[in-house]
Formats: sequence, C-alpha cells, structure tokens
Amino acid sequence: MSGKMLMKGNIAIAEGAIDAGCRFYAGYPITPQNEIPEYMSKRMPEAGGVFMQAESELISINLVFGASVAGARSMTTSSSPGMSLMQEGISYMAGCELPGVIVNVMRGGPGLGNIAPSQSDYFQAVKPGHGDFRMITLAPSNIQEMYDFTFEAFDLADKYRNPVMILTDGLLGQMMETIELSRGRKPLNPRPASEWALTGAKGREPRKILSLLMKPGALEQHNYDLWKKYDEIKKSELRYEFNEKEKDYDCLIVAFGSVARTSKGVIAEGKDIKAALFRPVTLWPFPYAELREAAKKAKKVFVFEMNMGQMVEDVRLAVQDDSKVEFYGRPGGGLPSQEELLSFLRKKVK
Amino acid sequence: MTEKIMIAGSGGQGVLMLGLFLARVAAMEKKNATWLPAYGAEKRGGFSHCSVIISDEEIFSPMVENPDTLIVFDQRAYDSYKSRVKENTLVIQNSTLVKDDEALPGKKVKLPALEMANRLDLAKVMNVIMAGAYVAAKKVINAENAVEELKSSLGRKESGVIKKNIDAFKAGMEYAGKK
Amino acid sequence: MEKLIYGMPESLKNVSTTYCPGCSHSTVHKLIAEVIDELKVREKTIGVAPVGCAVFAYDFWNFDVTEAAHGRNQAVSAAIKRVLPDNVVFSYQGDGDLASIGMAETIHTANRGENITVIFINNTNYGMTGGQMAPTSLLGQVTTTSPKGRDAQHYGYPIKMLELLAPLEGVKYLERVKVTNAASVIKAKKAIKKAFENQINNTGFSMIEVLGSCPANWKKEPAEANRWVDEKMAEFYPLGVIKDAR
Repeated sequence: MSGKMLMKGNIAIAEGAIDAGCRFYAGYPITPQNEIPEYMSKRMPEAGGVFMQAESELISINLVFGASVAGARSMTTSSSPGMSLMQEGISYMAGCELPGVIVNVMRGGPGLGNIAPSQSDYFQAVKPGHGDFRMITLAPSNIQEMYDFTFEAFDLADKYRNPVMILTDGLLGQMMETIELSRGRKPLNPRPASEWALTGAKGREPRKILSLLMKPGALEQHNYDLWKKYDEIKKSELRYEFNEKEKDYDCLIVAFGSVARTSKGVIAEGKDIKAALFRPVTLWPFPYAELREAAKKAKKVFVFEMNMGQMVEDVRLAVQDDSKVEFYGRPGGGLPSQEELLSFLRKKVK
Repeated sequence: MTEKIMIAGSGGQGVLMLGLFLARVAAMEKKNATWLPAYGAEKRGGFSHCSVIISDEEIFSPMVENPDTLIVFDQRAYDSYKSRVKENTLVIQNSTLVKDDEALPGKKVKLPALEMANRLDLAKVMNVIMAGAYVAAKKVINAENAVEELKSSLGRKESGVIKKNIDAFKAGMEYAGKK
Repeated sequence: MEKLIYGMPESLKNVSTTYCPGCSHSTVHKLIAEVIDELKVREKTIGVAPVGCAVFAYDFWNFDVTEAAHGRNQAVSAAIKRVLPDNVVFSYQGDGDLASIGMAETIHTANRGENITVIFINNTNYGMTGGQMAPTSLLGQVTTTSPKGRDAQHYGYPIKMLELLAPLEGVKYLERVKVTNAASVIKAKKAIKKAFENQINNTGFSMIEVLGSCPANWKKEPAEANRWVDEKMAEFYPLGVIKDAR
C-alpha cells in the first residue's frame, strides 16, 4: 500500500504500530477506539505477532507490561475511563523502565461521561499515575500524524525505556482522512531489547526487572536517574509546530490535537485578525521556552481546548503574564466549531 | 478548491457509505479528503449524518458547519439542516421523502431517489443514485473515477448487483444532468 | 570416594533469604529451584515475583525474574509466555495477591488456559503488611483486621481457589500441598514438578496451592504454626489433586 489513501484515525494508529514492529497488542472494548482491537485481532497474527483481548484495562496494561518484559514491542489502546484503570500499570512500567506505547482516544468525562471527542485527560497524560515519573506524550492533529507518531512512539519508548502515550480523541479516532503510508520505513530500534529483556539467563547472569527499592537511598537514587533521563528527553525530543514565517501576528493561538486543526481554519478564515498558531506536539515535554519566546510578540495569547482549562496552566507557566492569556474551552464532548472560536477571538481582540 | 458536503438521513439509507464513497473517489484523484461520521449510539436506527470535505489544500476542521452541498435523504434530515442552506448552497434532496420547500434558498436538485431505486428493484441503491446526482450537479469528482470506485468497492458482489449499482449511479447522473 | 548427593541447587543464589523463621516461602523457593534444575530449564525460565513477602524472590533465585504489580502476576506471566512460548514461565503468588486483588487476573488467565505454571502460597493472611485478614483467612481466625476473629456474617467465608478454578475448561492441573514435614515436602515437590512438566509438554494451565505457614503473623512458634497448618488449614483446604485433566 502506498500513495494517497483514505484511512480512519484508529486504523492509522494500528497500521503505524504494525509498521513500527509492534508485535504484541492487548485491548479491551471501549468506544471510540474499538476499531483498533478489532483491526489488530486480524492484522497482528498476519504480522506474526500476538493479539490478546484483555478482560479489563487493568489486564491490558499488565499484559503489555509482560510482553515488554519479554522484549516485544507492545501497545495497548483505550479511551478515558479505561485509561484511569491503566494508571497503575503505567507507573510500574515507568518505575521498571519498560518501553510500551499507550494510546488514549479521549472521550467526555468525568465518570462514564459520553463517547464524544474530548481533551479532558491532558492532566492525566502529562501528570500520570502515582510516583514521580513522566511519560512522553505525543498529540497528533491529523490522520497522517496518527500513523507517523504511533510509528515513532515505539522508537522513543525503546530509546528511553519508558512508556510513551499517544493522546488523541474520538474525532481523530473516528474520522477518515487521506494519508500516505511510508511503507518500507525502518524502525530504528535504538536500544535493542536483547540488552535488557528477560529471555532466560542463557550464557549470562540472571536479570531482574523491578520497581521496589527498599534499601535506604536506593529509591531516591533511582528517581534521580530517571530524572536524568527525563532531562535528556526534554532536550532531545521536544516537538511543536509554529510557523516561523508568520512573524506578523498580534494574537497567538495555542491549541493541540484536533482543536489545533480547527484553529488553523480560524486563522485562515479570520483574515481581519493577525493571528498565528503555536501547537505543542509533545505535551510532555512541553515547549515552555519556545512558547514564551513566541508569546513575547503577541498582545494576546488564546488557548483553545476541549476541556475547562488544562493545557492553559502550562501555557500560563510559559507566558508568565496572566493578563495576556485568554481561554476558551468546551467540556463533556462539546466540539468548538471554527465559527465559534473565531467569534470568541474577534470579541476579545476588539 | 474546497468542497464541504453535509449528508444526512436515517440509519440504513446508506448515508455514511455515500460520504465514504465520495471521499474515496477524491483520494483516488490525489485530492485531500476527510470523512467524519456521527458515531456511537446515534448510529443505531435513528439519525444518520456525516461530513465530507474534499480539497486541494490542507483541510482544517473536518466538521462541516456551512456546507457547499447538502445531501438530504428524508424530511427529518432536511428539517434539521435547512437552516444551514445559503444562497449558493447546492441542495440534493430525495424528493420521494422530502417535501418541496420553495422558500428555501440555494440551488436545488430534487430527485425521487427512493422511487428510482424501487424501479431498479434494489432499494439499497438509493444512496448510489444520490451519488450520481451529486457528481453530475457539482463537478468536483470525476464520473469515470466514481464508477471505478463503485466497481472496486463492490468487488466480490455478484455481477447483477454491480450492474444495478452502476445503472443507479448513471440514473442519478442523468436525472441531475437534465435539470 | 565421596559422592555428593545433596547440595545447593544451581537455580538458587548462594545467599540467605530474608524470610522469618518457620516461614514456608524459603522451602518452596528451594523446591522450585530443585525442580527447575532437574528439568534443566534454568536458562530459559522466567519467574514473576509477587507483591508481598516473596517480592524479593529475585534476590534468591538464580534465573530471570520480574516483579509485577499487586495481583497482576498472571497477566504479566501470560504475556511473557505468549511472546516467548519456548521459555518456561511461572507465577509465584500469595493469597492476597492471587485470591483478592488479582482475582480477575487469576480467573481469566486460568480460563484462557494459558500454558503457565502458578505456585500459590496460601498462608491465610497478608504477611508483608503485618498480618491483615485475607480472603483465605479461616473462620474464627484472629488477624489485625479481624481482631475478634473472622465471622462469616461480617467478613464472608474463606475462599477455596482450586475448587473455584476446577470447573474452568482451560484449567488442566490443580493440586493442594503443604510443607510441614519431610513427607509433605517430598509430595509438594512432586506436585510442583508436575506443574512445570505440564507447561513443558504444552498441557496448559497448572496451579499448585501450598498451604503455607506464617508463624510471625499468626503469633505462633514455628512448630505450633506447622501443627495449625496440619490440623486447621488442611481441614478446611483439603490436600491432594483437585483436578487432573491432562
């Protein structure tokens, strides 16, 4: 398959994983991500990998934990309520320094919420689980990126031996869009699993994988080591989209994921307003310094989200001038339209 | 060129498939396209709706608010979306199930798609007839490519069914072409 | 000429364990190590250690071992086995882990018929956290969270895991053993060996429940604790083969 093709976001995630060499997938049904386990149940065995339908999201993430212990590139996907159940396992993976890719196709909350698109798990992604850990979080904005970012997430996970999250939503999961698959692109496998995975102590000393460190000072040191790694990630893996050509702006719009694409439409449509888009692509690490620089030229910084204000907290930390920051968001599956965002922008600019 | 299409009707009428079909032909023509369904509980039985955008440029939000073309299969869909119709909106309506409304602005193609489908003895091709009408009325995608896509999407169906689908598509095109 | 007839198994590290005097864990660790040596699979064995007293098992066993989150051992074990079907994978769990917080993982792993070996140490309490009541605590048993003794009306009844799992199609072998004296230790080793052999022969899910002693939390002398296993525990939890569907 090459050339332009129409693909559903959820399927693009599955294809990106398969192409990246993911050979273990576990998932539990929850809308709006069901296409992924359905598709994987057929595609994964074809690719010579293991598909397992877990009996809960707790089991999903711990199956991924086990597959990762055994050295397989592994993934699970879910949506918001399921992601809450996975927090324990994600923390263990971070503590044990196990790679793995976790996809959250967000829906409305809290509680059972609804099945409409939402961005209400931003906090949970960038401030995950229990314990002092971080997780690289990539936020795709179109179906091409659903494929590309999932592909790249496996290399990032292996490179840093850390869980990586794809944070997307029901809109991107359910919509179809033309994309080009880069079949033949080779995953880098930057840190082969053979160096650390448990495969049996043949011709080497036994290995152990653990996150319990009871000796005085041992856990503190482990955390310092993790933070050294996180600092490296901050330096090397930061991603954002900011059109440098658009120097001439007095409004800066900050949005991620599906709201970022709507924001591009707002800028294209609102020719009367000089606006530019700053889109964080990695939500952790967050591009604080780059956003601060971009915000200097702006009279106003607008933050658009599908929640009641989560990323805006990081934007405020970056901008360091609360009087500049304006927020517009809709919770519970409300989809801000291009018109709606543009009229908010016009009202605030005037 | 950016064409925003809104398609609405009821479950079982082939609303989502029609949208998918148009987006696939656009992909075949190396255009950018998006298809966004209303999904979940909504899709069972009741209301059915999807947005399709076809463009030579980057597509922003996949949600269609102000359609260039509105394709409606029944009265409920029509009533729900008629407020979106502007002077230059193309409305393709299934006149078997949608009452005529002279007060509405926009350019209209009214075709009795359900009747035409019944005449072909295959009610399921109603959406293919609507597709033919769209392709003829708004030359955004090429008719030959559309027939190609129709054939490939029906791939394994028996030849009689494929022929009926192609006949349905052509009937829709002819009907809209005459108007 | 001297002939060595008993020594340290290669699958055990030459270190002292950290278990309390009289605790069954060290005995069972050794039995597992001996079985793995005898089956010559040390170099392809992957153990999954539980949250609980046996979490440090990786410091005592001389083969690859991973930790798992509390209760999740069998999910972790199943995935390792699926990825590495030629390796030998076993899950080592206590009763809080296997029968309480990990009940769903236990039932579904068993029901899927995963080709793994589970060694289940039932000592009727949460040992590491200080002797709280477990789902397996006997009626009348005094624990730190059942100070007046477990009564069924308030706490429910103790749970028999093997009998619960026996009807599941995917489950092939279930046996309950104890390690309170030489004879029972020999019997326990045979059962453990069978459970590993089953995996090597692709028979499917096998689980051995060991009635374990916990003198420290039971507040009994080791000998007295063993008597309690023999008399009280074995009375409620019948010893022997519960299911053999090979």
